[in-house]
Amino acid sequence: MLQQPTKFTNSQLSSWDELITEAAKNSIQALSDMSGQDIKSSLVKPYKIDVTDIPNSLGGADKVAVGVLLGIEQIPSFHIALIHSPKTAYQVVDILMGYESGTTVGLGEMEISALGEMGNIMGGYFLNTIGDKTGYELKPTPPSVRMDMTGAILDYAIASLMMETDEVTMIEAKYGTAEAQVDGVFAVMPSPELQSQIITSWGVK
Amino acid sequence: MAGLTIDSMVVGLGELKYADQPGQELTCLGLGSCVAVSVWDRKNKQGAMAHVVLPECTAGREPTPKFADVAVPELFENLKKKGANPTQLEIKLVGGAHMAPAAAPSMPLMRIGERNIEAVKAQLKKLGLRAIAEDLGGNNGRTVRLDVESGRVTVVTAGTEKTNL
Repeated sequence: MLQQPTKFTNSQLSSWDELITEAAKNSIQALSDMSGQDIKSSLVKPYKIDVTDIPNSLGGADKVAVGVLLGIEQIPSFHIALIHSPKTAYQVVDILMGYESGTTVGLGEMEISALGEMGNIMGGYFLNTIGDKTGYELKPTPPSVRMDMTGAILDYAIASLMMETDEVTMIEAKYGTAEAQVDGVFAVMPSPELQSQIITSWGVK
Repeated sequence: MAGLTIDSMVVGLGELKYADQPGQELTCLGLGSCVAVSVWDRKNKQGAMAHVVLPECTAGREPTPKFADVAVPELFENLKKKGANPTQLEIKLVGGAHMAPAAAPSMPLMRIGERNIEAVKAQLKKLGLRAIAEDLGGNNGRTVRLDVESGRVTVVTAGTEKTNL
């Protein structure tokens, strides 16, 4: 356990979960604007997890995945990551590009660009929702898209979090069109200090 | 060995593990900027592995093996207690890739993979030790395995066959 951990009240933790759930739902909804299709979330469920268990919770550290990573400008201890299996990431590209299911079978320049744009939009809406609710303004960095082992994709974020905390919040999400639903994980990983600042600026006690 | 089931012991983030039974292997899965320190004691047929996440334990932080300057000394101290002669150990290093997003040039952990490599090597040097083989740096994730009985170390990157180190 790290020294002097940030203590939150039950009310603050509950409010935080509500805040990031709403922010995640808004960011998924925003994909509709990007794709011109009616994309909805069927499940958005926040859960707490030990930082060292993050790769296992996503299927294992050596499991190959596609990650879209965003940082927050000027704040090294807040990360957002969208993690999908390669097969699911291809499905996501099909949905975003309006392709018939099964069209995308690999990640080329265009597919990476589509996933990056998805990260831009989802990250932007997520942080805008937090800003609108709390007045705490956060700007995402440009997204980074990579296909690699899950542990390796998240190593940078995990290392920076392990400097400050043992536990983070992840969001399990299912979303898609009426015809095609996909499972993904929306990892929201702020340091407790930043989380505390956001909650405090919101006025929750 | 034919017919022997491999008992794979996963060395998680910030952990140290030891093994000395035939059929056991130590493994770090999906290393990115982290560095695996693999150590094999040929004489006693025992192995150890550290999964280093960060270079140094700065003031105010609890000293745990996630830091190179805690993990490396502790690893060799414990091996000595288990009968190993540190100067006769086969040390191999894997990982330390550059995994930071391109958009993070100003972030303090931008060079984290490189810094982990430097920190592990500096700790080995302090102990008068050096690695006999390494697969370090680059931009890809790796999984490393140490077969405790043979001392064979294999490395796999995403989508490739395993190679001996």
